[in-house]
Amino acid sequence: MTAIAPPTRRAKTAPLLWVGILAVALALPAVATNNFVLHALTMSLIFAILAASWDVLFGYAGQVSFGHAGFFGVGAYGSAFFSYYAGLSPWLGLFVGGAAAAFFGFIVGFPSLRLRGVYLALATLACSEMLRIVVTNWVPVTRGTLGFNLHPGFPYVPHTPIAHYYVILAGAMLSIAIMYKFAARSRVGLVLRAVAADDIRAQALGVDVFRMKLLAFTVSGFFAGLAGALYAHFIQLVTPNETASSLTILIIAMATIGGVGTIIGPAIAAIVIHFVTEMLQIAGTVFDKIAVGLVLMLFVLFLPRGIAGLVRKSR
Amino acid sequence: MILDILTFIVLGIMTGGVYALLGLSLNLIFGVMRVINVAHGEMLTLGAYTAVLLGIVGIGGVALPVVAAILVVTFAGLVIARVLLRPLTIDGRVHEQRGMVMSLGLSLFLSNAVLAAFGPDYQRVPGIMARGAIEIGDLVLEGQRLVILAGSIVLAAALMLFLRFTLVGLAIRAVGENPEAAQANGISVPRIHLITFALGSALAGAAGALITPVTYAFPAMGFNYTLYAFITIIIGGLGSVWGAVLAGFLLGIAESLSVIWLTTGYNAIVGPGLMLLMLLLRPQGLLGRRLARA
Repeated sequence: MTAIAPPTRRAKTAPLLWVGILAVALALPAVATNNFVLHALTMSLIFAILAASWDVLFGYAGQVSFGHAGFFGVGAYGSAFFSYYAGLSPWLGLFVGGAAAAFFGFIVGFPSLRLRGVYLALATLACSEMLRIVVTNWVPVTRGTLGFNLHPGFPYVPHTPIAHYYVILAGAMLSIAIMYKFAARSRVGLVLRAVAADDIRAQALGVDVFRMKLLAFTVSGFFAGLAGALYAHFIQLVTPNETASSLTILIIAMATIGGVGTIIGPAIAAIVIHFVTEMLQIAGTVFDKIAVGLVLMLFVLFLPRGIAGLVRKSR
Repeated sequence: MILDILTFIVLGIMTGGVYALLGLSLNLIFGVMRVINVAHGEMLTLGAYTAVLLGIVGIGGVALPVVAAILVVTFAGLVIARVLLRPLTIDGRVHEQRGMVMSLGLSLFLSNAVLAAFGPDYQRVPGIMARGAIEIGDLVLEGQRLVILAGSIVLAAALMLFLRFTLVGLAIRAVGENPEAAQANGISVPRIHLITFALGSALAGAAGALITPVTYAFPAMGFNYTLYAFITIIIGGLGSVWGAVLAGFLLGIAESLSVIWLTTGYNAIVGPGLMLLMLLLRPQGLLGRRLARA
């Protein structure tokens, strides 16, 4: 029943590939001089963190989260509140947002003690929906549907789209590398996969299954929240829309198309999908989300392991 | 105050009928195919927009839009079950995770296709008795809401009688219990899957045509109904028919009554809150069987 990642082998070409990707990412603003294109690229990077963080939970620990929009929202609002109400640096706010979402993930992960599969997914959905209702209605604090706007974006950094792109590129690269290291290249990641494969057997072998699940929820929550905090200071406006479950659906679509259980696959798919749909919007179509839905269905039918599965097979 | 409470209870019963119908149909699909159908609400959307289309041509009333919605959504359900879900079916059950992600894609596709076709605006349809109301003392019952309640009860009862007393109904229940044993007894499991999915979807579509005169139709309406259908079956118990009916009405009443204590807006927290509470305290639901875990 699972989407556990088979142990990945380190390819010899890998370091070269990473240097190449990094070079392209660093050079992109030179090519993409249009502000709208740069904005779309920056947002794509935020989605990449989100899709990868969903994959930590599903692709490695085997836990389905329908609540990622909630994690993202806690990070965005947490960071915004911290810099607005406490008047402290947004740079610190990024970590506060991440920490707040990590704590939210920890709480949301608690039902995993008793619940599995669908039941757990619905519990996470309930938490995320309740959060959305609170931030929509708690007008004195969140300003409700008008949104919470922040004046300074990132201090000490020039207020230009290119600078913002580099800030978020650094955040995304670092986050994804850490998640990859944590889930795919560490002993803890190996134990997580054992929990996903068969938690009863893992328990019998001495694994504290509940603690491992909570750890996965906390880590996934932290990075989804960090994405939210980056978003809040980049867009400088947080609205309850950021906690809507349609965002979660989009994240799951990106992760599935990229190939769950690889971290990198969901991240790259998120970048491509968000960027292409944004470009479709410039072209004036309303078919962008229809296309994502259609592509997702085709992948589930014909390529359930996603793009990453295709790449792996061709090796 | 007592009149207020009574009014809210009556209003709750009326919305509860729709929740019960949605929960019942979602439960039927889950019970037989084991698919977590996140696109259930979109079947309701399709039914609602069938009524909108009929309204544009000038056909109103209750019976015609509902029948048309049932026909349209039955067809849609057959196509979805055949093309999208059958390839994911192994040993008489849809693959849990792939089925769920498939329905997510379908939900994304359908709600945005409706958005592209009709635009984001709320669409109205003329209801048959939208203007009428029945007054019992100081209690006012709007005609259209009574129609919704009566329609939901008739459809739910029809489904239950169908499952209980017909041969196809028996076959559906058999596949739900044990697909391999059903197959061994000469029941075509794939065909029962088709019938079940079409039937369950059609009921959601009928609900869509019923409620549109009161709630109006808009492209993203489906998600909230999907959520409430899940809340209903979690409270009632996944797989429990009577549980869904009981939970639907309880949920409707609880949500309606909560307006007395919670300010508007915040009362939307009642549904998800009750679901979370049930999941934590009694995951098998009010009337569900103990084994309904995992």
